[in-house]
This record gives sequence, structure tokens and C-alpha cells, in this order.
Amino acid sequence: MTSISLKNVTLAYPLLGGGMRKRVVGNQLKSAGGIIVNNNSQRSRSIVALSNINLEIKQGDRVGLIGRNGSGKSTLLRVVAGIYTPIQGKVSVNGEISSLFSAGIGIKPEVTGYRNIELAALMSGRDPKKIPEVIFEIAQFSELGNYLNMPVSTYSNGMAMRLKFSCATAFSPDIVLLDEWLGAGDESFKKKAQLRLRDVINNAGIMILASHNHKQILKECNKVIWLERGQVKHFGETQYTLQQYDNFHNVESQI
Amino acid sequence: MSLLDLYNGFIKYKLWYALSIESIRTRFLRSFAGFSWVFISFGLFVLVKVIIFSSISGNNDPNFPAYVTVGFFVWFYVSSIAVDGCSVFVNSKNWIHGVKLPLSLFVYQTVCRNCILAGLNSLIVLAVILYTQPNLHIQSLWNLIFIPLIVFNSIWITLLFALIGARFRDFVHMITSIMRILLFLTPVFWHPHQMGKLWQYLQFNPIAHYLILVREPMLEGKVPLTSLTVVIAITLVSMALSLLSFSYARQRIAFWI
Repeated sequence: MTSISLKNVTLAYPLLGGGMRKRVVGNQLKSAGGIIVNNNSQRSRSIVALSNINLEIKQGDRVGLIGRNGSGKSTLLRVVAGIYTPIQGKVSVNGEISSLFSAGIGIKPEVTGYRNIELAALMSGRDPKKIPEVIFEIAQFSELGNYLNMPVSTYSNGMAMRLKFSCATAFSPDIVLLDEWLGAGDESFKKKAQLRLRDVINNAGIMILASHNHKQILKECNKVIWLERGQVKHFGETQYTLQQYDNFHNVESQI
Repeated sequence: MSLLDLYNGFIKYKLWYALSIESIRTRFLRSFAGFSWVFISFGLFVLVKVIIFSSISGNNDPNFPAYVTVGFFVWFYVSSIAVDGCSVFVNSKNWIHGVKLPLSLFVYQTVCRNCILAGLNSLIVLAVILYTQPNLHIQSLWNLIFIPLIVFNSIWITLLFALIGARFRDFVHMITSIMRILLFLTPVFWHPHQMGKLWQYLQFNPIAHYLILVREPMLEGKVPLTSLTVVIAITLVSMALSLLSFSYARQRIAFWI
């Protein structure tokens, strides 16, 4: 049973190095970003990116993640992915995770597309020699043809993204985490990508999509988490939560 | 948990092997001579040093070219491990922030890459030995134990330096400058007995013992017990320190880099 559960999760980024010692002035509530706190005991300072997050995400959920810049969307995705360990609270995840954070991550630009597919297979714990049909399928899906024999550095951004997306969804993950992702790509690939994601979710999966594009969220998601300064302001049905967000920030509704 | 990470990283040997091959390939990407640059740079360096140092010291010892080559071979491995170790996690930043992988994987990758380079360099060592015909002793076989010991040791040194280097960015610069000085304080081009009393102090340089450990059985036919003790001691201490620091820092690495 695929599931994600966060209990009282708090995460702070320590600020290390020069330029980090300047005093915090003014009302932080007016600026974007997480709250900066002084940690007097250690003469250090940190940014509280998530505070006291409680979430239960169940099998089949397609969750949208909204909030202003610096509200903790990316951090939350990385906590679920197990990359950042929170300073407090408990994260339990059942299921294999595949994350699509940015095109550059997990791809070696100097290496050919095919070799990158093999590396992606190895990363997900599979032996590429034993699954030629999956490798073939990724090659087909990406529609990159002869470019797969060329280094990824010769690709355009969109092409690199196709490769990354094809790899990330090919090894039947249970949970797909997307950070500002689906917006890129040409129309025909976007359609294919949406169908592929639906497949993953229908196979007992979970998707979390962080985005500022509320139209997209309305189309793709059945629930929405609204983050405000590292806290969950609301977690509920898509349309209602998006409306609340728009009212709160006095923005004209996108939907 | 940190032991589990070391285990989980190790069993992904296909991945770290593939990544280390790719990182060497990348280094020689689009160069005409490719991998041969490893031989060319090591071979030329050794050749020039042998010519210069044998004419300075008027040394006609037939063992001298092999002495310098083996010494420099070990030096090259040990110093690259120390320097590369410092930036293991910093250089893997993109991967650590993007994919959930055991952190030890990047340590194995670095050790593996240096082993492959040392493997290529060892062909030069072989060529020098075949060409200059030094008096090799049967005790050379001890290296079948000593070299794996040094490789095992380098895992812990890499892990320890990687952790320190991720938190303290001065570390890599410090180690790089120390290594530059140590090259002259290590018996690569000279023999300890040429240094007279000075050797008493120079022997506190730990790297000297790695060289002696490999070289003495080959060229002098004895097992250097002092050096063996030093290397084993360093292995045990670095293992203990790196495991302790790893269990403290494992979950903080992603925030430090």
C-alpha cells in the first residue's frame, strides 16, 4: 500500500559561511522565503523552511503543492524524497520514489543519452543488461532517435527534459515527485507525459506536483496542499483550496 | 545506520564502477590521445625525474629508476586519495540533492576511480622494471597483501576527508598545499639513508611509510615492520574516526553542501 505520512515535521537549513551573520531587521512576514531565526546558543542562524507539517497522503492521490516563492514547496518534496532529514518529526514513506526536480540533476551532460539511460537504470537498482526492453521503451518514449548516441550536452533543454522524464517514469515507481515540471516540453510530449503519469498513478501510485500554474493543478490534481511560510495553510479539495489561496493573496483567480 | 549506508553503497558496485569509468572518460573527452594521457604524464614525469636526480647525485644504482617509479606510483595514489577525498560530497552536490542514493556510493566511486588510474600507471611501473632490470626480491609478493591494505585504508581516508571537506571548505586547500610540500619530504626521489639525522624527523610524515611499505619488499627484500605498523595504525584510526563522524554527519551532509 503506497502512502506518505509526515508527523510534526520541522526542517531548518543551517546557514553556513560568510555573509550569513548580518542582523535580521524588519518584519519578516512581509518578505518572501522562510523565517530566519537566530540560534543564540550556537551563534549560528538558520532558515526554518518547514514547521510542524502533518500530512497523510494515500494511494491514488494526485496532490498539487502551491505557495509563494520560498514557502517550502521544494523542501517538502525533498523531505518526502528522503534527501533532507527533518530536525524534528517523523517521515514515513511506503513505495519507491522517483523524483523530477530539475533536468540537470541525475544526468551526466558529457555522456550519451543511452549511457544516461543505463546509469538511470543502475540508480534505480536494476541491471540495464537484464532489461533491454525497458531501455528500448525509454528510447522510444523519449523520441530522441539518433540523439541518444550523442552526449546530452548537445541536447536542447526540452530534449534533456524528455530524456529525464522518460527515465524517471520508466522503472514503474510508486511515487512521482515533480517540481515545476509539467509546464516544460512541447504540446505533443506534454500529452504523452500526462498519460504516462496517469498510468503510474493508476498502478497504485501517488503524485505530488509543485507548481505555480494553478490551471495545470486544477487539471492534474485531486487534492492541494497550500503552504504558507513553511506551514500547511490548507490541505483539501483542489478547487476550494485554490480559491482560498486566491482570496488570501488578493490575486485574481487564474481558474 | 551509517554502516547500512556503507553496505547499501557497496552493493551498488555496478553504479559506482560505471560512474568512475565515466568520470575518467569525461576527463579525456574529445582528446585525441584519450586514456594514453595517463601514461604519458606519469611516464614523462618519472623519466625526467630519473634523469635529473641520477645526474645530480651521480647515482648509478641500477635500482634507482625502479625506486623512483614505484615510489612515485604509490605517492600518486595516496596523494590523489587525500586531495580528491576532500571534495567527494561537494562535487556530488547535484546528485545528492536530486536522487536518494547511499552517500558512501560517492566514496567508493572516488576510490574506484583512483584505483583504475593506479592500474593504468602500474603498466608504466611494469615497463620500467622490464627495461631497467632491477634486483627484484621474492618478498615483492607481500604487496599482494600490502596494496589491498592501502586500498582498504583509502576508503576510510576518503570518507573522513569527504566529511570534513563538506563542512569546512578550507580543508581541501589545506590538504592540497600540505601535499605539495610533502612531495619533497617524502622519500620519492631520495633514500632515507641519504638524509642522515634528518630522517628521524622526516619519518613522522605518514605518507613516507606507504611508499616504504610497497617499495622495500620489492627492491630490498625486507618487510618494513615499522611502516607496516604505521599503515595498520592509520587504517584503524581513520576507520574509527570516519565511522564516528559519518554517523554524526550523515544526515547533515545534504545541508552542508
